[in-house]
Amino acid sequence: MAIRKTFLQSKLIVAVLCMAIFSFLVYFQPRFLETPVQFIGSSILWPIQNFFSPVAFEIQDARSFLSSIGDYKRANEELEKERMRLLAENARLTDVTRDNDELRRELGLLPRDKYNFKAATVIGRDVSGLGNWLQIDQGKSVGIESGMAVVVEAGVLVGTVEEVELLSARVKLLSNAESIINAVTLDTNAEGVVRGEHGLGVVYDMVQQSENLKNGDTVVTSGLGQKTPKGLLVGTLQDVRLTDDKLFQRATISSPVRFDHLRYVFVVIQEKETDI
Amino acid sequence: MKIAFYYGILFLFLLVLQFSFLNILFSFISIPLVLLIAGIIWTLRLGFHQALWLLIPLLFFHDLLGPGKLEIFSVLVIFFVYVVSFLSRRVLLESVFLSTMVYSFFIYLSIILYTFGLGWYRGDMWGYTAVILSQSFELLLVIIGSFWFIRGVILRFQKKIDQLRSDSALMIR
Repeated sequence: MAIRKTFLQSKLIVAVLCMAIFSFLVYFQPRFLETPVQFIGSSILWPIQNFFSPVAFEIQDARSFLSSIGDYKRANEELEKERMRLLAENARLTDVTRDNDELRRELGLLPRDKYNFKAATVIGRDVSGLGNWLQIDQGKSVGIESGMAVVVEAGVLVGTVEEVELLSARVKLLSNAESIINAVTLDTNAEGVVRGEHGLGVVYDMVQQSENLKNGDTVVTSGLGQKTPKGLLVGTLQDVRLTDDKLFQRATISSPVRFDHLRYVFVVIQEKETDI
Repeated sequence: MKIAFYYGILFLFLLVLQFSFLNILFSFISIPLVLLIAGIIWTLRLGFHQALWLLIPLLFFHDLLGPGKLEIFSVLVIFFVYVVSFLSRRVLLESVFLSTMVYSFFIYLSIILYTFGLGWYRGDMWGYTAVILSQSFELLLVIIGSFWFIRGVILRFQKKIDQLRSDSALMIR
């Protein structure tokens, strides 16, 4: 005797129904689901992630070490040449540093040692959009708030805090397609926005055609309308071009930081009192 | 209650494995590999309907604890799992080695497909896919390793859960 399946016993129907419900939820993103689940979940996961992530980072370091053993001899010779070059460079930079301090004062940028930082360790990472956010092990309990800038030790901006839980926070990287930061170039003072390019890189966009944009110029945050302080280094410009609609100029930003290798970051809690 | 507790532990383990291990070590893989593998293993072990009951909460937890919002990937996992269920009824793979290889390759194709779709949606059809294709060999190795490991973990948990189920059915304390 043939067994008849009811409507809901058919796998195809169930699959289509589930996909339809999920699509509906993905489209409308109901907020009532998020807050309790995120709060409870992140509190439970936090200690486990704190244990697991260092293990993963150590394995990553070991893997890099093993894969690079063969390169060490050549690297050593290159480092020796580099050392000689740097000795000469150092002499030149001493002079440039003095100029830089003067320029920063003139441009009204804060010196990079004038921020209060909170150090944080990366305990999680997203890959579903090609690595566009990080989870760090510091949250509301130490005063971190949404929108705060996140930098690496040399004062290089890597992203902003997007969501904060009690013990952890989610950082939206600059390469995130939804990330937009106001910025300015140091040499030509051309204002624009730094935004993620499909999760793969960072571009300097919306620069008016009247502005002079040139390759190699340094981009720093302008501090306009956000919690991101001005003067944080974003990167240098490459490949200046017009946008597809020919209305604005655009350039690729070469960041000195590799977003997929971040292990420790610093959240800019606030600017220190300064007399500038 | 005990069964729910065991599933809770399994979910936590899988999520931490994804967020704080695979995502850090292999950040070039643009897909939550653990969810896809778990879905496939549950489908092969328990059937499509029961697998959905486990997969849907896992997808919810992953999306809400990770990216912070529900992602389109969840919809696609259900589709991929359905395809696996469809194929598993028509292709007999008795050897564990062979099934690992076949399903790993299926996961690899799913990743390429998803990455291609993501690129298309964001206006850079080949940019994403090129990144993944250029690392195909490493990607396949990661998938095979992860499949083998997660399969072992899930089957062990499932064995324990089956035992608890039969104990409670037989009223054994």
